[in-house]
Amino acid sequence: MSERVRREVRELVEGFGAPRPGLAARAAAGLPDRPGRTAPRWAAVAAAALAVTAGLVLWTARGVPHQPAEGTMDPAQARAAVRAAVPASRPVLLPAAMAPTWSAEVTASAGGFRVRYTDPNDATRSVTVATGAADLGGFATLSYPAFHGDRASIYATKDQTLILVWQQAGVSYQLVTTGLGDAEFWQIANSLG
Amino acid sequence: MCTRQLVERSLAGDRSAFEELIAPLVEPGYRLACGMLLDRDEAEDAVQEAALKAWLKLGSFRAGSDPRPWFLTVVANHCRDLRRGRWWSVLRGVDLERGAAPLEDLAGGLDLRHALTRLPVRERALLVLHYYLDLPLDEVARVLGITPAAAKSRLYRVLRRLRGDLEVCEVPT
Repeated sequence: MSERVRREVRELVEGFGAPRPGLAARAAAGLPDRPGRTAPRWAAVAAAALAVTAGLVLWTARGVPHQPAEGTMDPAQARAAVRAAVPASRPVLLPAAMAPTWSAEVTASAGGFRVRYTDPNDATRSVTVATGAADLGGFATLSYPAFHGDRASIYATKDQTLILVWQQAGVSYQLVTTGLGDAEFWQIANSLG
Repeated sequence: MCTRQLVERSLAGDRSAFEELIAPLVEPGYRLACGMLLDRDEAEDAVQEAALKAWLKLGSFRAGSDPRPWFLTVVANHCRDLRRGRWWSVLRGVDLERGAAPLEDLAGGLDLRHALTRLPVRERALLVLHYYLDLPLDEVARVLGITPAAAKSRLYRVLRRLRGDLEVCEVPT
């Protein structure tokens, strides 16, 4: 059992690929100046400010700074807002099949995004697309659809909720709907792009 | 240059010494972060953030000790903080935070990979540290901030849990 776990852990971890070259150099390049060991008390405050600044620099080190987005808008505006907020190196998958009358509640930054669409005529119907992992506790698995080539993707349900979780280009995604049927769910899932 | 000299020069503000110090630690840190976050880009970001924290906390590093578990501790803590952050938070109306997910509802189609990805992040960290990075359990315990006895019993529980779920799947039909 232990050997099987060891093998699976290795495959899981190595499945993400090696770190991009120069990761240590990129990390060292963004470091703030180090205050002296006998620095006055105000230097600690300055160091904290530098740390925050350096963190922001590191966060956007892979490209130009991106503008975080937050608010309620229509689906087309949501797509544009998310694409402007998320670096081009990360895939942004949003459904093309959303009716233009639905409203989209957007939260997006360089680290990921979440868009929740709601039907203006029926508040119980919603569609959420988000980056990040999900807990399937309490959900019953319907299938392993190998969505977008991910063999570990899972399609599951609980009450009126349907969920699809998968990974793509090293990013965890989740599509969650409430009040939608199976056919509607897959119409939306298959329009993600 | 030995580790002690690299630390001293780093403490004096020498970034190149710090880069040399963390260079061999970056890949293990990245692998740990991948195992915890299950996301390559998030893992790279986590390692960069951890490097920044390590730089700022270098004064707490005990001279003469191995920097690897120290740096992995910083990475593990940062990954845990990330998991508590907004992108891992609960979606409205649906409990979607990956954590203590009951594995029972995946019975019938579960394989070990699925079971691993559904473990709580601390348990997955333990498996990566012990089975992938080959850290002995006392070092695993240091990285996770628990006692060696707790690390051992946690590992036992995780294996027993995985074994139980696999037995469900491996019943011949």
